[in-house]
Amino acid sequence: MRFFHLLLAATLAYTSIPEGQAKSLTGDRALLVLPKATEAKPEDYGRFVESLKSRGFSVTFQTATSNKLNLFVYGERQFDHLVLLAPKAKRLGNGITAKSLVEFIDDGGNIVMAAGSDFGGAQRDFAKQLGIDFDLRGNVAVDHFHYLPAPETEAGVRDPENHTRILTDQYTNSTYIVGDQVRQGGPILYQGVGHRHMTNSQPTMLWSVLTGYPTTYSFDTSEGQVVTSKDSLLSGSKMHLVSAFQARNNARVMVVGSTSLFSDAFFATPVPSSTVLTSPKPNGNDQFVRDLTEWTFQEKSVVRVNSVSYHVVGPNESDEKKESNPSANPGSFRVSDRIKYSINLSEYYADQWHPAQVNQLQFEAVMLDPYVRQTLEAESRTGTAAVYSQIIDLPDVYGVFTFKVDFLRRGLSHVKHTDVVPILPFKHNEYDRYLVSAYPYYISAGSLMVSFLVFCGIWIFNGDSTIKVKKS
Amino acid sequence: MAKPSSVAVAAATPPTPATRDMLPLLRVGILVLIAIIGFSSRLFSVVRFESIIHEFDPWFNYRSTQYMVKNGMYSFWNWFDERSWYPLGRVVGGTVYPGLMVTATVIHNILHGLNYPMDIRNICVMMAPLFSGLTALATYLFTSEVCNRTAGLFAAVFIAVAPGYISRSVAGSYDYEGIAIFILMLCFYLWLRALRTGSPLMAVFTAVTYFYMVATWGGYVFIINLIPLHAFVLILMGRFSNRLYVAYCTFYAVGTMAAMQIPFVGFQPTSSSEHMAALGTFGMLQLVAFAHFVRSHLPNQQFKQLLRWLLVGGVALLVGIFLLLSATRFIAPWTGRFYSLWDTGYAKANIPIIASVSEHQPTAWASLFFDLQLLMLLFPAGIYFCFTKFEEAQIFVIIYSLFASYFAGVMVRLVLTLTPIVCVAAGIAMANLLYSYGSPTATPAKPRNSIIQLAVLGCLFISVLMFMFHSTWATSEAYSSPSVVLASSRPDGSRIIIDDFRDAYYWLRKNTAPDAKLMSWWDYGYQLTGFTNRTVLVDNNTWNNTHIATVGLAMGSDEDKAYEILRKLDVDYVLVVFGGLVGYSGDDLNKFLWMVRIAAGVYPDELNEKDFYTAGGEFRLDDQASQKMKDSLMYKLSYYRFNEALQGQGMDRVRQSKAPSKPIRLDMLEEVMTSSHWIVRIFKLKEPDNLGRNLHKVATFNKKQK
Repeated sequence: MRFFHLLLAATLAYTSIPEGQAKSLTGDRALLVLPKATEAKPEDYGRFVESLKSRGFSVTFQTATSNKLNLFVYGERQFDHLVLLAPKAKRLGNGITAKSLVEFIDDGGNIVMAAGSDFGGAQRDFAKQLGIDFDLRGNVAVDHFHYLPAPETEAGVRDPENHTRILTDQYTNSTYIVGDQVRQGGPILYQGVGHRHMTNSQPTMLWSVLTGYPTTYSFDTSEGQVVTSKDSLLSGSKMHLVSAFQARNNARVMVVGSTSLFSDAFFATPVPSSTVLTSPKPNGNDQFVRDLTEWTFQEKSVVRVNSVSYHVVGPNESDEKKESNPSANPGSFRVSDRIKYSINLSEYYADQWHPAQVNQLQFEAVMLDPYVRQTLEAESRTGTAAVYSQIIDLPDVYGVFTFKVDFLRRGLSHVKHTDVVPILPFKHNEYDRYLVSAYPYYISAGSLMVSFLVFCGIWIFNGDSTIKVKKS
Repeated sequence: MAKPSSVAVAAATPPTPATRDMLPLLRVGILVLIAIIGFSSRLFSVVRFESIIHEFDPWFNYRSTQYMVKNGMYSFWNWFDERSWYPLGRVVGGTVYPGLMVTATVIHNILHGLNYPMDIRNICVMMAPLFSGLTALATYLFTSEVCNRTAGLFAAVFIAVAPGYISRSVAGSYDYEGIAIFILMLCFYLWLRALRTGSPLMAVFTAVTYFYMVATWGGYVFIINLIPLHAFVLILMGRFSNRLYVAYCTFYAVGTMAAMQIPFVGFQPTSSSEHMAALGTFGMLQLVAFAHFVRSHLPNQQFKQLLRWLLVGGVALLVGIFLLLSATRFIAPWTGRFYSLWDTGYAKANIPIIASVSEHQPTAWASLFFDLQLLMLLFPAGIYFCFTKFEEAQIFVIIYSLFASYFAGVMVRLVLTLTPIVCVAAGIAMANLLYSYGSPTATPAKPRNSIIQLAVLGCLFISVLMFMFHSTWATSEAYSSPSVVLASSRPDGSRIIIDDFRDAYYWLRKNTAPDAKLMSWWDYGYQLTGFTNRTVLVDNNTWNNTHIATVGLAMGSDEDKAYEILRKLDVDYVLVVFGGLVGYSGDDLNKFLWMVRIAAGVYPDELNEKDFYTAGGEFRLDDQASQKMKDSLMYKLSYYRFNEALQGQGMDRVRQSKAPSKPIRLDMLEEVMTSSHWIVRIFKLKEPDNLGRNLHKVATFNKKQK
């Protein structure tokens, strides 16, 4: 039965994504930048690459120092997604600087960047622009309580006794990036550096995805080093291992302090369960890396506004506008109109658009200050979209208002929709007539007219007699 | 130039039986010629430049006329202009005097109805000259009513060319005043006529003309105060008559009801202080009329006693009611503009926005003489002749001249209302002089002396001729510049046209998004919307002081603070006017202190005028300028790259000071357009950084990475 479900899901996925088309929303050209061939080969990241390819990406490999490595050619962005796995490279490609990487983001490209203990040059500068400050060179993340003991036979590990291969499952709350499968699975095996967020970084744009346990700290493990100052020590939840960044244009960057997180070797290394000395189980790296790259490459947690509509409800509903074009939003409203504002949202995940599930979605009508701020309620949903709406009483103030929905959540793409809608005062013929309070005026006008006629009548018919009296 | 001599001849010719039949024909011919002179001497600007709307306010009138022609009267009435005063918007229909636009639209529609298609712009451009011709006719009628037709002809020719009136009515000066003076004179003529004949019909005509004036210009308050004043003075002088009663009561009742039909005026005639004199006079007339009625039925002695008590009681009651209503604010308190009419220092101390306008400054003697020249000398003589006759009409002229002289002394722009009466008085003086000296036959009172006669006539002729030359020269040199297009002359005398404003406006029209929001100082608001059809924050309709102060605050703040304000106001482009390169003195830096003052009036915690002076209290813009000045957005935008472009030799030709030598760093705005003479500079507000960095940091980062 379960097999059947899987099969069904696979077929569905297959039919919904045509051959050769990426599941990412922003393109399928991915570039994997690797260090010199002596340090790492594409095969080291075989499973990671395989995962990318199975998700429809066409993956290009380049060595970090290669002159053929260009992000832009004649101003055209060459790749949609960039994976930087060469932290040691002082020089990147054909004159790629931190500025080029910033431009890549500004142009809508996404970046996964792995750092290492001797991380420097353009990439470090770039990280700084995001508000990420990597720890001093030589420092690595260490945890003496949660680590993977080095097996006797393993070679190549620099100093197994320093506990640098740490285990952690300290994900931050947001499930938009790290899914439940990872949260419930094995811990992450991590060997690399930690970083801090600079004080002036934007909390809405940069946030932590994974930290170490409170016992994790950052330290230079080479011979003869001692902890000198407690203040400079980066540790615990202040020490971020993986951070996510989403720019204003919704381009995404994932900064990871480790290259080995992506490697086949780590994918394959079993870890002990939380209770010591029980049977080893697979770690969470495989799925974790998949979650990270899916988020970064716009394969999930992308929300789009399909449509926004607003119109007058109730007795004042205007007829003439509806006749001409029923679907178009009116260009203006009148003061104190009661309107219905609805917004149609979809969220992309699992290769498909789904009805977006959001809460505390707020509508604002702003003219210098917000005059209205109300929460939109879920109204209806179709297969691919959800409608959130609210009945809104417009203020009794005229002016050029901005109808604004500005929804910002860590992990979700920034939902922002603004319409400039003038709210007009009453037209000369729209005021109420025959008010009760106006009756004294009507009566006074009428009585004046009548008495004028009466007066004229009296004047005319008595005129002759007075003249006669005078004459006599 | 043939005109004055022909008038002189016509006036001097004695009405012999042979020529008497010719006189009406001659008179009509002369009047037509005067109207043509009045029309054509205002065309300098069209000949020199082109058929273009001038100045600032006319641009709004032009734009709203276009709107009215396109959308009709009712849409105009309900027009909510979302392109100005963003984001507040402006209810145009209820805040505008529609008379001018309606007149232009009516002319347009009539011409089109006659299958004579004429562009609305040309109608608007030609409107003021056309109505100036009509003003000459109205002045003729008015003066004929006061004195005689000879005086009328003189007054007509004077008003046709007087620079004081031309200054506001050249072709392209499509403003309220252009047609309001015609209505003013017509209304006064009809009033005098109604008063003389006691005809209700004439009084109704007066009221209708008054209604047209109310629909056209805020200066209608002048009429609604002057006519009651005239009536009041006549009563005080014991000249009450049934004619006065009929004329005034008809005029007041019909006129007030008509005036209330204009949305902008609304219920003001019953509530605002400016209209109370008219109401009071109306009430007083009823009392006086009642008193006359009682007198006809009572013995004299009793009546006098009764009258005394009635008068004292009535006046006390009226004053008491007025004070009570003023105190309870039922009658609107006097407005700031009104106060500044009595105390010239009031605006400067309390309302910087009024004081900042140059046409609200007190008038200098030189400018009075420049505007009126010969008429200034004839004016007192004409008033003297009015005193010699001293009937109802003459009293009116005296009252008018008294008040108009005072107001003209207080505010430059009110020279305009003085000019017609000066022309009338001058016409009266000329006519009287001609009668005294021009008559070929000796009167018994004055024995004939032809040498003296000839000398006096010759002097008069020469001075009138000189006045004509002066008027033509003043019109051509001083009053015919459209101010949207500037003209200057090269050392060799050839003319050079500086068309920077239109260049920049056209650039904006073609290169910015249709919903772009532009920020500039309010002076350019009307032109910006008119030329570019883009949204502006503030404009010449300075109805919201706070909004203007906010713009002033942005201009006077440093870049970070200004950026915050501009983002909040959704500004896309900032426009500044900089005259330093070519010496255009009306630029924004010269107005900058006013911006600071206006902003400080609303945001005293944010700005302080003192900070913009040097430690020694000087207003300097070179390297010794105060730090606050150097940091201010206006300073930075004005001088940005100025010194670099002139290879470090930058000299501000307006302030006669050196340009700041240090390169100005601008991180949050970028220069997108500078016109060829640097008069208009347009800057685009940068978007917030995509990565959320401070824009200063971005600039530093980008510079380092290069």
